[in-house]
Amino acid sequence: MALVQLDVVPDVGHVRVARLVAVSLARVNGVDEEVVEDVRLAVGEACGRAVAAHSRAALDEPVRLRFEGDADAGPGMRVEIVDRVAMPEADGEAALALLVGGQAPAAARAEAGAASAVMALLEGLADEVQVHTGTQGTTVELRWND
Amino acid sequence: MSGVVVECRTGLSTGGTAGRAHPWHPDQGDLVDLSLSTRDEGDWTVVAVGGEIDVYTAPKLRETLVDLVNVGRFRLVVDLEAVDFLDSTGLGVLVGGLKRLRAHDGTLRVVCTQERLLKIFRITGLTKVFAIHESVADATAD
Repeated sequence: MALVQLDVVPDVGHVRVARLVAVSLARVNGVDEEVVEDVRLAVGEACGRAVAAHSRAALDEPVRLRFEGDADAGPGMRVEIVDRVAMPEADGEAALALLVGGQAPAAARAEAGAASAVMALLEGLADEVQVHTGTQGTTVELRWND
Repeated sequence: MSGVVVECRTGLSTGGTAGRAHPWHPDQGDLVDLSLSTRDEGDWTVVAVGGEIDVYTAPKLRETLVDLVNVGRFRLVVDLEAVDFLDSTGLGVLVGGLKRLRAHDGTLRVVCTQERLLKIFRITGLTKVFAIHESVADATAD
């Protein structure tokens, strides 16, 4: 099982690096070329969200990305994006709601920090999205199965 | 016809968390992330964008749109045909621009035929918010 871990300092200029790594590893793990663009955007969105959360909380610690695939077992990749900003403990829909912070029309959401647009993109682009929030921070897990 | 060209380079040491020293900065000085050029076409001002619009470069686009509104250009076409990458921050800048323009009875039209980018507008529900055209000629037709 190939595992690659990437620590990204909380600087928006580095989100691009995370996207480039995600694209390379998606290809290594046999993700369909048409889906590679989805990986690029989704990992960038999740990393950008985490970096922004660290910046807002004045946390200098890096955001951690873990990429896991098993090209021998078949195409696909799992990516975890982990930030260290303390949140209430929640899973699934409740955790998503915490990250999105309420409901508003799409246009207003896109402008207001884009949290909800980010989540819409993650759910629209990855095969599976899991979110866990807790006192240790937030973990967003994205999966592509082919 | 006057034009302005702005290039935004990955000067990582100047971006993001100002004043905080990071242990390393990859040297990407040669990579242009975002290019912006504006030109007038009749009543319209066309903003041609190239490269990557993301959380790092989007402020540059925002600045350009705000500057145009401030000099009284209220009918804008944002041409995304040369854009390689667009994220939610870029969408947010476009929505913000549209809001600002509407306050002046203006409008913002988007030129985009790239399926990859159109998909992003669709997923976020913004195909209902923006008039998306196939060409600058089409966008500036009326």
